[in-house]
Amino acid sequence: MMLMMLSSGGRAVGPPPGKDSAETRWAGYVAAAARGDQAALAALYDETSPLVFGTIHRILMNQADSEEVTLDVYTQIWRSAGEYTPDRGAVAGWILMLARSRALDRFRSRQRRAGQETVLDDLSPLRAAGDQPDEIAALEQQRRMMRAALDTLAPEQKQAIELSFFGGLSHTELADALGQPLGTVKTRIRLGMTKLRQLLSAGKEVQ
Amino acid sequence: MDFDALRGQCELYLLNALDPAEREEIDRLIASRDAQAREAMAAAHDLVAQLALAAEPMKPPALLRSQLLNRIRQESPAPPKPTSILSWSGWAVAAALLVGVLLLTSDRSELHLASQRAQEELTRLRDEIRVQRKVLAVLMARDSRTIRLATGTPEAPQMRAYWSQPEGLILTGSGIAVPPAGRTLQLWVVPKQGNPISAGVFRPLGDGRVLLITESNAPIAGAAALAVSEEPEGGSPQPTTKPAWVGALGD
Repeated sequence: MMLMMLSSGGRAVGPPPGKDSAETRWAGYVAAAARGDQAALAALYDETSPLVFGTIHRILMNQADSEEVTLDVYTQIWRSAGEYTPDRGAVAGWILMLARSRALDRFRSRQRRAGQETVLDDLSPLRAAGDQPDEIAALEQQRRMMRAALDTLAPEQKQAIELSFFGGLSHTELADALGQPLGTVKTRIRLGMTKLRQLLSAGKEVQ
Repeated sequence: MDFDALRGQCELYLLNALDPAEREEIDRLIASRDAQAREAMAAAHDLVAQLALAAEPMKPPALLRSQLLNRIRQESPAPPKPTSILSWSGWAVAAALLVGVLLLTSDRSELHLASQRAQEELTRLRDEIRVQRKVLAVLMARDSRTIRLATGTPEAPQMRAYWSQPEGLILTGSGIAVPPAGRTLQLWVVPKQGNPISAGVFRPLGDGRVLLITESNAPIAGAAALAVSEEPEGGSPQPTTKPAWVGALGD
């Protein structure tokens, strides 16, 4: 059921018909939040905040900043809930991309303040978390699939995709950081994403 | 371009891995409301978002939830508050409320609930004070600059920015049209030399009001202008559209 929370490369977006998926529930929360239902936003927060906070923390590696950005993300969801429509993708995708954007915005702001260059080592490792919240246990299978899929990529493809997603580096910046030609970096990302899409689609069919 | 190729391009678009000309092509397709392009973008959006699952989930601190609820309660169409400017008496009232509740409520569950509510109210007041102190600090700073951001049309709504190097940058406006779904507004510091620097993304409230408080660290002395452009949701590393509002800083 949870595998369809984010569509994984197929053309169909959203939950399979007839299934009471988390995606359907979250879409309901967003619709209710758009009508001013604060309890709906609270419920959405309860179910999605570990994912959102984890993503933001992975990007920022800083507790205080991650908390502030998480607050901003849900405030923005509250303000713009009425603008969400399913044709823009799954609710989870909308929320996670919003979280990524806001975190990267903060990350760049912090970089400018510190006058630092991106430290690749800080972005690469997957951070282990001791506290696995119950609310996202149902997502574990989907997470395992994504991580397994990432692990099947060539290391340079995985590195390019992770630095692009979590580090917010453009392909130009990546090329500079990795000392590789622009075309090479772009090809790594393209091939890696194609393979991810195929793997996740295949995994979904198996389920 | 077939669907799969278009979806692949959209994935690279979202990962900021396209050349400017390729980005413009995707922007053009999306702006033209091409059905296939929109479907491809939605599918790409979902796949790219799944990369977030590579991060370990982490439960945020419990206090964050009450802060969020306090914040949205403020933004909801609730009964008007007696005053929008919080005075120290507000703190005193809140503190007295907390103490009073603690002393007078004997039932433990009620005491717990009331204490929690009072704590939430204090948190909300703290947030409000933090925002208002920030605004005051920027406005009263010795180096505070006021920049009017206008469009090319004289009667169009303007925005106004207040900028102090140590205190921050505030953007205000009213009557600003809310961008369409999937788009947002982004504030830029345009330096005298080099590329524009993002100072934050924002959306006007439903009634067109704008209040953006940012921590821009771009040096005022090196800035030529502030600009606001419409960008894809979440913002862009560099402007992808011509800025709709521009305000020069002058010397």
